[in-house]
Amino acid sequence: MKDRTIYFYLAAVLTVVVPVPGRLAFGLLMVVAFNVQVLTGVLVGHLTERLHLDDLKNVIVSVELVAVTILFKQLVIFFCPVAALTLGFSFYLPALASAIIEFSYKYAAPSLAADMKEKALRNAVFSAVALGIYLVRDIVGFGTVTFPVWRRIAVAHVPFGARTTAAGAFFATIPGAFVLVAVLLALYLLVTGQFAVLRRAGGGR
Amino acid sequence: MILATIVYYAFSASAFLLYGIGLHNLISAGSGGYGSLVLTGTKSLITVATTTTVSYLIVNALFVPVRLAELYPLVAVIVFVLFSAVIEVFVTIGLRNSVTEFGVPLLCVLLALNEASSVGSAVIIAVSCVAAFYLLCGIVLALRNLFSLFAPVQGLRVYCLLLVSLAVILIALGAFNVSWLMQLEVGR
Repeated sequence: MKDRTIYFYLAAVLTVVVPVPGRLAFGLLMVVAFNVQVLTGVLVGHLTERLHLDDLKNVIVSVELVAVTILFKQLVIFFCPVAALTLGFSFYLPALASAIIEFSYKYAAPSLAADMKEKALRNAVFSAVALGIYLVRDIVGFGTVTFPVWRRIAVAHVPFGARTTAAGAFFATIPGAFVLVAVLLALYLLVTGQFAVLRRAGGGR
Repeated sequence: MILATIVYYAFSASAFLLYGIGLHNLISAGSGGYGSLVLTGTKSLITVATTTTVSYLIVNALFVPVRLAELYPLVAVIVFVLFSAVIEVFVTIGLRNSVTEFGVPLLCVLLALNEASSVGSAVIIAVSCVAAFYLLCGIVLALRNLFSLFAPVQGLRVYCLLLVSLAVILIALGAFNVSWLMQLEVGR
């Protein structure tokens, strides 16, 4: 993993995961919205470069991202109004998160195919991590696993029940999400630190 | 009423911690020091106040009558870019042009337009959110300086401490409505 990429993941998690209610159903919609925003943003970014509108790139990409988000939100209102009502404003967070804009559109590969491949791979890793965090928050916090289905949120209760995980409800809150991300980051640093030690030891032989 | 709105959006429902506006800015918060924070904060406050007023009036006059109020973010972005360009001419000395100046004020404008019932309350909400954001940026900068005693400021370790600190601040701000404590009480 490149050094700077971890900052992208951290920024994306802080934008897409932390401020959103800790339900997998909402997480799925947020992750889809994030992927749509980044990939359409990359497309429009390359289009502006082809049209030699580099000076207006930031403005055009921002307007496009907002327009795509409005369209996506309307589709969610049609598909699952409860989720749209709960998430509402949150859909705009990744669209206008400057750190994500900077990582996704400023450092672009010259060819569209290479850029799309790079962004899709990075988004796939982020999506897996984000959905994992949402799943943990849903199970530990509420004792459920939720999915967005036609016009409602489907709830599946986990066998051990919500009562036994009442203390875990902390992780469904925003402060709990902060702590969860901090723990994951600490684990990541521990593991990469151990690998670095092993690499150094292997190189010294 | 005005005071209640200011306190609610600046502290109780902090735009930074509760709505998540600018959370990603943790990564670059305070990289320019306190001076840069004050300058960018001033610029953001002026931009946000003017953008919110004009956007609210345009949306109310043109979009609400034809039931297209959902398009308010597009109006806000276009008005924001125009005002930002004008204000950049006056308040650009000593400031670095950065994308980080763009997202937070615009999201505050969107939040204000989304939740306000009049042009006055929209401006108050937007300004309170921006003020709360820069206040917390100052706190984050102070915390980073403090944590530099234990961990390198440029490394990732400092973020672990920062995230836990923000959780504590958020719990302190919402101490009267901490859902997991209430749930523990109900579970007995």
